[in-house]
Amino acid sequence: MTWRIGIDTGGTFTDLVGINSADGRLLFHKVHSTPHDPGEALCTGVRQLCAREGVAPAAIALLIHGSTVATNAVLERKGARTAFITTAGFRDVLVIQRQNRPRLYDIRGRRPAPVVPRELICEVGERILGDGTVETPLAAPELAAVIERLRAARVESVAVGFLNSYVNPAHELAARDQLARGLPGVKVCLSHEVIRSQGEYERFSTCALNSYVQPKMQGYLDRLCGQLRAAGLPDAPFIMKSNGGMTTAAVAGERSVETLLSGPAGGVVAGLRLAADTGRANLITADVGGTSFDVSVIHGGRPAYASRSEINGLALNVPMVDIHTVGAGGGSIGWIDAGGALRAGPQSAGAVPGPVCYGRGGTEPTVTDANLVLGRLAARSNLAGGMDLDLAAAREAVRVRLADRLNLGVEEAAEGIIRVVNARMTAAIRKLTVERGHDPAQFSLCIFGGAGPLHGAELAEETGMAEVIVPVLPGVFSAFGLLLSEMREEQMQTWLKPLAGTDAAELAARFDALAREAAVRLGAGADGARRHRVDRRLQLRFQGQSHTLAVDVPAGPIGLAAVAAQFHAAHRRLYGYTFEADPIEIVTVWAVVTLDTPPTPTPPYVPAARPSRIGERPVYLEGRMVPTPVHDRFALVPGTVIAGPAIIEQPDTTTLVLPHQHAAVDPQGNLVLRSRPRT
Amino acid sequence: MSDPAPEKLFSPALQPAVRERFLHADGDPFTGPRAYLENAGGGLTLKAVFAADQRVGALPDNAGRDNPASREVGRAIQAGRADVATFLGAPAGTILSEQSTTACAFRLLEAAALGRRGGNLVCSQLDHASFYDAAGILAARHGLERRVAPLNRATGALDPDAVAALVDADTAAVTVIHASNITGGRTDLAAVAARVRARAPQAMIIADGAQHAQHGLVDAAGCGVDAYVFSAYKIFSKPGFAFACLSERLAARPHAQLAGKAAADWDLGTRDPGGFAAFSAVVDYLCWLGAQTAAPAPADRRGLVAAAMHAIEAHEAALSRRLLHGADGLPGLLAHARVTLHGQRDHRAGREAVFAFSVAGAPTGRLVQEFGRRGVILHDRVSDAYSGHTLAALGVREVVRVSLAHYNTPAEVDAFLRALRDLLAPA
Amino acid sequence: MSEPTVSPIRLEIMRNRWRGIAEEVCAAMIRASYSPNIRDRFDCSTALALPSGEIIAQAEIGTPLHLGNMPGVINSVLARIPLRDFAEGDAVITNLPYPEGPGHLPDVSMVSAVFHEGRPVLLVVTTSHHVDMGGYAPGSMPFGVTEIYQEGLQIPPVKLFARGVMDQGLYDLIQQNVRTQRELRGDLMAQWAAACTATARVHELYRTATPAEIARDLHAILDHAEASMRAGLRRLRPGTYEFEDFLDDDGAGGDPVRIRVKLTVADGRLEADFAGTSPQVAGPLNARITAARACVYYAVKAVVDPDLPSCAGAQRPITVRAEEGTLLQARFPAAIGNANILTDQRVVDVLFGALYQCAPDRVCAACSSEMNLTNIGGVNPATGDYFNFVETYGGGIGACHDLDGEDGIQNHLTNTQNTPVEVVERNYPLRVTRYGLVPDSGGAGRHRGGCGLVREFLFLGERAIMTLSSDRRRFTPWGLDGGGPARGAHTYLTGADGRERELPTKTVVTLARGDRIRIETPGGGGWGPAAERPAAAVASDLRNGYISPAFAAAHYGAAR
Repeated sequence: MTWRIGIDTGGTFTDLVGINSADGRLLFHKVHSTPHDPGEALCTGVRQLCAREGVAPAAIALLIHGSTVATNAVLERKGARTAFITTAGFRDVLVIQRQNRPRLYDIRGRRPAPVVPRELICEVGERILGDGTVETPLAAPELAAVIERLRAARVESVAVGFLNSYVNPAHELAARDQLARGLPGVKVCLSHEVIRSQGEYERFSTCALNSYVQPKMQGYLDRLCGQLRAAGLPDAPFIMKSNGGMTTAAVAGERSVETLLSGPAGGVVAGLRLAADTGRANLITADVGGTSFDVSVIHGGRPAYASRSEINGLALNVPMVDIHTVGAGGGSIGWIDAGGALRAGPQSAGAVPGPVCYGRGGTEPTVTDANLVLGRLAARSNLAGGMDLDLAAAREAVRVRLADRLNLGVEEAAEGIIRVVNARMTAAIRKLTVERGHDPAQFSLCIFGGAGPLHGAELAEETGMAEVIVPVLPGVFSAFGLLLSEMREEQMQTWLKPLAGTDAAELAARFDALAREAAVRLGAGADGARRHRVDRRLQLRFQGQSHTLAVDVPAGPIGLAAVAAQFHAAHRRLYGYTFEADPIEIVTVWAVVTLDTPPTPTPPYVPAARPSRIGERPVYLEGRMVPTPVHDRFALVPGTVIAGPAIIEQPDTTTLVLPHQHAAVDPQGNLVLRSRPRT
Repeated sequence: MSDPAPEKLFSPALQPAVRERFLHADGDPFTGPRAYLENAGGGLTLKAVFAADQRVGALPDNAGRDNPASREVGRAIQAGRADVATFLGAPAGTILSEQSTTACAFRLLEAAALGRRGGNLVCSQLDHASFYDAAGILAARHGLERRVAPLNRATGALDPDAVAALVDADTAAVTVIHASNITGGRTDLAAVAARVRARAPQAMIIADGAQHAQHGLVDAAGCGVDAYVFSAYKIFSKPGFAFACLSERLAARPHAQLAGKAAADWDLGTRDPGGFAAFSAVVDYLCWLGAQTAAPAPADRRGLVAAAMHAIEAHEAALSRRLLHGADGLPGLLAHARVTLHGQRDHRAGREAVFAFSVAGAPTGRLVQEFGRRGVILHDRVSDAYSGHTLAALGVREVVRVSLAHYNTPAEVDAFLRALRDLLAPA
Repeated sequence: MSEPTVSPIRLEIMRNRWRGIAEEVCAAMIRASYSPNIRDRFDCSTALALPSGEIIAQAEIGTPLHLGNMPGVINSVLARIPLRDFAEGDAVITNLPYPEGPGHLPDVSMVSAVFHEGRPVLLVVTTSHHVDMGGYAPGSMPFGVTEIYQEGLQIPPVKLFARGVMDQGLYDLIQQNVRTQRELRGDLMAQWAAACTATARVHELYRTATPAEIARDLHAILDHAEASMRAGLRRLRPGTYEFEDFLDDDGAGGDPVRIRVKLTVADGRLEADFAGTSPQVAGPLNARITAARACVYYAVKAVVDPDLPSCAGAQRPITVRAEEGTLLQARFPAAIGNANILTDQRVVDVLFGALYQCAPDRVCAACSSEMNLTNIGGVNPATGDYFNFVETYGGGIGACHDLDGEDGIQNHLTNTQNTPVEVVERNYPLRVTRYGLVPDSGGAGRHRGGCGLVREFLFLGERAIMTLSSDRRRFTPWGLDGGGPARGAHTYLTGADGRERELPTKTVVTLARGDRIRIETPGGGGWGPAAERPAAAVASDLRNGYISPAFAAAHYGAAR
């Protein structure tokens, strides 16, 4: 039982990465995704991988699956027919959201439709106050009438969200009992169980999203387990969550909302391992895909977490790795705006028709076309699944659409697309560093994704970062992250209380209660028998402020003074000052329980015994075509230092080393790019 | 260099006479009697070295003044330089003296790299960190490529072809370790130099003899290198001095010096004359040893030094056989199943009296402590700044090192083997 | 020798870099602020300007009204304290709309200069709607007043920070006149933090290029914006278009107030002449032309192209005229507190009415277009401190030629978030008892207008003063192209005795424990004849409760 296999389902391809947990041997496979039934591509992919590599199904210890079923259900509005029951007088909280327009000057901009049509949002007499006291008891007859309506409407699931249920969930629990009797077999989801925090719109929206995707996710996972059993493969896959952890298919079938936006989390988990392996504390992870650029921060060896986010314009408040996404990638299209400025994206040529040089009908010049024109990308490349790229078509598209209209040379215009898209990526990186009080000079940029290593060098220089790290396998780095994931459950609860005068023992008890709840879901047993570790976090603010700051609470007896000191330090880092004397308020108590899973070893890097220098080609750098040596990455021996300008090729990506830079191969085989001091 | 070394222990009379000339040969100043088998980290020091150092060091006034004392200081320095040339078998020309081998490495490699943007520096996984890191740092600083020749995992040594494969018309310099301070693997310097010159006549060939210098005769001129570097404290002198002989073309390369000085002058400022006198004391000792072991005794100092080095090599070869294969009923290092030797198993072929081994399931730190408690001084090499890259290439995280010198005796080897047997005996 | 032009590539990079700095500075201000008004409702803005006062970049998160006033703020500050009297670390504040500046007294602007090699190279302006600035009623936007002196503390341009040190005496004077001291300090310090953030980022930028290069970039950014706006304006049919609409009353119990505009669209130019608008009025609905300019810039950008840059360059092809002494260029000391809330929104509706005539497919029918401000202030029995609860409410957005209007949402010149129900009852002696859409409030039409909002409170304190600033009860939002009008604004007060009475649209009342306030905001106007609305759409409206069967029968014919 030594193999772990990660299956990352994407829009066009499903990437599989297998690792032998004894010796770290890596296997890869790629199959076309089957959106109509993603399980099909998954099983085919695993079967083919095992057959090709002679791995017996019995030798597979763990299947970890990054699924987009829930995300797609929301984006394409193909979730369950679900109803929402709420406090009388508040039927439209989901519709009104927070009352503001998505875009300031866009009078035609519409909020995306909630996942529950207004006709299925029902009101019931009940009211609990902010301090938990019951002002109006739950009107069972009214609920009974609602149940009748919902039976007639043949709903597949019901979400229940009452005001202040995060303080006193009694009415939500009572409603579930009555619903269970009235609508047997219909899944009921209570808002306080999804996320027990203040803010009715965010809580109700997250609960409705779970109710909307849960039946579909459950159906998919049941079918998947069946397909796996039929294929003789282990039938208890683990599912990747947006907090970078993973959970059992059973829990994912219940709390499906936690798998939304889990795609990019794999890259962050892999980034954490790279940081640990190379002894670095501060890392920016940047995933350059075809259409999107996902960025996250690892500071002091820990990822940044967010508890407020949104999907397709709908509030989604679950603990997740804080990832900032902008529409910039290999497929971003270069165009000229009304004022004559050269723009790049956010429109993208996507997978179809794709860049012009893919020859699948694309007419608009993209970032990939520009990289080809500049010589950074080779015409013979595996990026597009191993086909030749049409350089002539790319040059023509750049000339006709951009160069001639801007009276620039073709290379100059192509370089313009790259510099403009880099500027948008740089802005995204600045949002997570500079805007949060982090100094980019103390960070390294870990760049991955197919198109990433072509841009890493310039991005690091523009953001002022000291070095760029190109992992050994940038093309499947986030799929590799699936293999490193650990079983993790989180439990948050709003607890509004002044920090000063809080009884440390009571606070510790609250942490323990939340940790126990999460541990049970983790299957660590009520008594917490299976070895696991608990991380404790508090969200704090000055009384009067709204935005909170998260502070880690180390194990052992809780020192309130230390917590306050940490808060002041974080406030000073973020805003440049703090109010030492002002009262601090606890907002949320947050417990994270992670099951100790046997660590997956980082695969050792063994260079191929063949010459590393494989040729030379002209590359457009600093305004002219420069003959640039080309190296075969997997032939580079650790310790090798390559002076820029240089191109380093490997099957799934290409790395650009700028003239005044050098690339060094570290013991794990990572490429570390640094700028030479300007002599 | 290719025929296996003859084995011949010093005569029973000569052995004590040799040990008597060394400080603390028999016992440690703090812990008393022990077998000192950590010579790769810096051998014992000759008594005569301190005498000479004190004598010349005490002379008032700097060299170059017109008075007897100043003239004696100048003489001692010149004599010291000449003795370095004699020891290395180097032609007349520049003798560089620096703080350490590492300092020499940086100065020599920078001279080779300056102005060669776009070129490359070739080193190897067997290089000591002083040369390995210097190549990396200077390549990065001056816009060159550093190429790393893989070591031969089976022999723990460096194959000339592995180095030659990486050399081309843009190679600015090649660093070659003469013998590994970890595996004891010895490099065929002449073969490497010949192959490099054939493919890259312009490349400077810099040999690191810090480990080899005490174990075998150096023939710098003969093997065709541009520089041969060694640390004086590793051949029985005091620390703070490393010497190198430079070919004319290397000496002519741009390097740090006072404006007015001649191009071939590489010394930076006044050097401690005591250091030069100390090394002359070492050569005097070798001449004494040569006279004891060669019949008839050669007339010239170089001949005597050569004779001494051959005698040293033969004595150490005999000790090596004893250590590997055991004697008088004592099992050798290779006899123990739990012991893995990293490097050449044949004590006569391409290796020196330095052995890296590991014991299954036993952390090296604890092993060194256990041997220490049994009066056998060893050392372990771990994946640190010094040995990380070499150990990674060998595919191992840490090793214990036992390294012999010509003043060691068969009895001291037996003490090691006894301690090893006791440690491996089932509890 | 002509200036070397900035390449289209560098232009795009620097344009985004400057906008990024403005947005980052605004984000810093919001995060650091104390009052819910800034931190939750984003009722604030940030801009970077050349020393000449021309705005280069603005944060798009704030409110369009603040953004339009920025040029006026800078002009009034520089008129009183010329740039040569600015030192590094100085910050000037003002809330005075006369002769030009922020829209009303709660909006406090802070202007500071960024220096490079001893020369001022850039101005940083932040505007925040402070919860209270003193005056007759909490929130400083009372009715029953006829001059600015009654509305609150007037702060002419004055240095609050000199070389980084706050003038404690000046601060104490301001704090003494303000009901909510803690929020005042927190929000002012947040504006100061924003100024420091801007200084740091601009210094970083000046390390990457020479002052000459940066000056060339900035002028290229302004020229690019001008070219974009002219290109956009050319998409409107040239001609002159007139439209007028009315405020229900003058805010002092008087007659309706006319707002009239004559729009002249020529080749890449637009002129808005508000001749024919009523003279300045007794009540607090007067404004200065800076506000009218803000409305025009907003309307043109919303109608022509929402992606148009919002900086001085884009405003060059636009001229705005209003005669001295009229509603939109009132003379000092006319009362101005509620212009932001009511008058300016109506100016936008009038502009949309005119623009309908030359770009029908780019406008929407009249929106709720009155922010329905509700300000409740008093002593919170739970804490003994003074509280001031302020909210503005969205309503319906008017339908477009091809799109139903959006329900219950902020429109035009404001985009502030609501305060969560669960947060209100924990922080104020108020309990929200109803919050939703008002059926039948949207105008009927081929495309229906959006529904208005209902928000109902129960007051739990002893005594509080409520200011209500609404409109559109008599002149309800009009439809276009034959679309029906929407329902207007209504606010009801039910005493502890259960008797319900409707409050006038603009009033200040005292609340007692047990009083219940229900606010219903206007819907949006319809588009196109109701008869042309497809049956399926009407059925869906009925099923989802957007309209009642009676409304359907009255407007869409029962037979449907």
